[in-house]
Parts: sequence; C-alpha cells; structure tokens
Amino acid sequence: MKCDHEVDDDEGASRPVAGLARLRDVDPPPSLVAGVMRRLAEPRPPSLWRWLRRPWVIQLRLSPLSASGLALGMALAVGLAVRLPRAPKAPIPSASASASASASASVSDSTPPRAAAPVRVRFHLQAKGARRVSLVGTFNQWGADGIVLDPVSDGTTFAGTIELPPGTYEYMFVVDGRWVTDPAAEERRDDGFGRQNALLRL
Amino acid sequence: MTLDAGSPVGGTDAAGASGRDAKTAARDDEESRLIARCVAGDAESFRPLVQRYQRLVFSVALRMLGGRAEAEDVAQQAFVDAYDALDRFRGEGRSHAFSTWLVRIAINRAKDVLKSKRWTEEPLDRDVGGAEASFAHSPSDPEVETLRGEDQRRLEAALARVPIKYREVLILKDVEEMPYEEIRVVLNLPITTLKIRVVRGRAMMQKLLTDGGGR
Repeated sequence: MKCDHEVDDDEGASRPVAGLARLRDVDPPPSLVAGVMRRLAEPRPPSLWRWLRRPWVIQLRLSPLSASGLALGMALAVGLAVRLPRAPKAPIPSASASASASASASVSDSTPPRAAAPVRVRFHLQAKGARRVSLVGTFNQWGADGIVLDPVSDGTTFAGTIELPPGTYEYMFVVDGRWVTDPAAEERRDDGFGRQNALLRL
Repeated sequence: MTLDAGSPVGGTDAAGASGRDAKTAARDDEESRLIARCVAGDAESFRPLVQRYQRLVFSVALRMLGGRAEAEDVAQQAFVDAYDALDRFRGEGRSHAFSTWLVRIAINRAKDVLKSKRWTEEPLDRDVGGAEASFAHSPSDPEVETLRGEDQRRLEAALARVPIKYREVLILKDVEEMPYEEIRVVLNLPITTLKIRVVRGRAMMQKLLTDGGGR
C-alpha cells in the first residue's frame, strides 16, 4: 500500500526501532491485583447504565369496579384452565442439597427411555439467612442472573423446578453473590478455577 | 489461582498457528466462563483475569504516561471500569477479545489523564527532535533506573517524546506487537491510518535516537 509514505511497515523501509519490543518486559507492581480487588469491593456511585437496568416497580391503581372486573376475569381464566384435560405429570427428579440427594439418580432410573423428553428437575438448597439464591449452570450458559429459587416455608430452604432435556449438566448455586457447590451432589467436576461444579445426569 | 499470562496479545505468523489457535480458543472459552461468573456477581472470578492481563494493561499505561504510580492507578481503574461494564462486553472473534477490550479501556483512561494534565497533542509534522520538545516521562525509581540498560532508557525517553497519537500506535504495534486488526478495534481507526502513524512514529523515534533526543 502506498500513500505519501511507505506504509508496508513490516517489509518496507520502515521497521520497528530495534529493541522497542523489549519495553514490554515490565513487572507490574505487586499491589496491582490487590488494588483492583479492593476497589471492586468498595461501593461505587451508580452509573446511568446501572440506573437504567435497575429493577423497576410498576404500581397499578384500579378503581373498585375495574378491580372487580379484573378479579372476575382471572377467576374465569383459572376455571377454564382447571377444566382443560391435562397430561399426567412426569415424576420430578431432584438435585438437592439435603436429604433427597439420591433423588436424581433414582429418578434417572425411573425415567422412561423416551428420546429427548424433557425431565422436570427440582433443585433445592438449605441456605439459612440467605436473601437470594439462584441456580446457574450449563443449561443456561452460566447465565448472568441465573434461575432464582423461591424460599420454602421452612424459612431456610430455597427451591425451584425446571425442565431439562436428558443429558449431563453442570451447575452451581449462587447464594447472595457467592458461588456454592451443591453439597448433596452425588457427582462433581473440577471447574478449572479451583472449585467444583455439581454434576447432574438425566 | 494464577492463569497463564498470554503475551503478546495476538499473533500473525503462521508457525504453530493451529496449536496457538486451539490454545487461544481454550483461553477465550475459559475467560467467557469467568466473565459469566463475574456478571452473576462473583467478583472473585475477576481476580484470574486481572492476574492474566495485569502486565499488558500496566505496560500500556506505563508507556502512555511514563510514571509507574500513575500507570498503576490507571491500570487499576481500567480493570474496575471493565468489571463494571462486563455485562455489555461481547467477545466476538479474536480482534474483539477481552484483552483487546481491556487495552481499549486502558488507553482511553490514560488519555483522560493526559488530557487532564493538559498535555497537548503536537501537530502532525512537528520536528520532535527540537530542543523545545517536552518530556512526558520523568524517571521515578532510581533503583530500577540503574538496573536498566542505557539503550532501554534512551528508548523509553524517546518513546515518551513521540506525540500521543503516534505513541499509542507504536506502543500497541511495536512494543506489544499486536496485529493491526486488534489495534484497529482498540483505537477505532482505519488500518491505513494506523500504518501511516506507525511509519511516522518510527521515523520520529529514529530521529530522536539519532539526534540524541532520547537522552
């Protein structure tokens, strides 16, 4: 390529200044990594982007008449849904953190060998005092928000049910931002970062 | 946990390309998983990424700014900025890799610092060998300075005297040896412009070194 200069710098008249690549050999300060992690832990002012992405609360105010109409409509919808014929429920396997740890294996055995029929899997974890427990894994590409588990009435357990096609999955729980391996998982696999993912075979 | 520090960032030669491609793909995949964890709120998963790229980010910041303290501050802030924006990061292809994105943030941060100091950009055809050229670099650590070779000191001083818009390209092309495609993404400039700046930047460096302006 020609311009007012020779610009084919790798083969033309212009070559890198001798020794310039050696300037790459710098040792970063030993405090750099710790400094970054410390800054990450500090509260930072909210950015516009974060403000836009924060959860919004939408309040709907209805007059007594419209509220009655809405309730009637919902009751009709529920009534219709109940009257519709439903397919028999498949058994729900469980990948759990408590006493039903063997449930996933037993359900795998009991699941009929239908090709690619989705299997309902119930995940639960005892996490006393936790505010938010979510589920992430290969089934949702370790998705950012995960699948939020609901608190169960005992006040210490969080649970949720999802449908998965037969296969092998890795997953973890995220408890208030902290990644936790399912303590009841029968199988685990190193994640390459010093922790273990729980393994679920369906 | 420490990960393999990949350096230089990219590569263009053919030798061993397939092996490196596989290694690069594995590294990108590993980074994607770490990034997904960070976005899910696991800040600790960011540590291996910082460890992996601290040299690269610090080196770029140091060559842009000259002083180690400022460079460390800019490098740290660049990592924090990157962390805060991870949910917007879309790594698509090698030239859009996490490292490329990180360097872009670091360069922009360094430019912000330079702007705040009102270090003005010299005109395109300025004779940088002139006596009026000002040093952007002031050696800060005597112990380190004595350990460095005379040649390296001259190179550092000469590079610090090259105007910013040429210096940033030289840092990425000749110091970090990044391919043009990645530099194009980092600086958001056409490759033709980059090549012209590389040629001119190198000529300025040669002139500074020949005239003794790098001392």
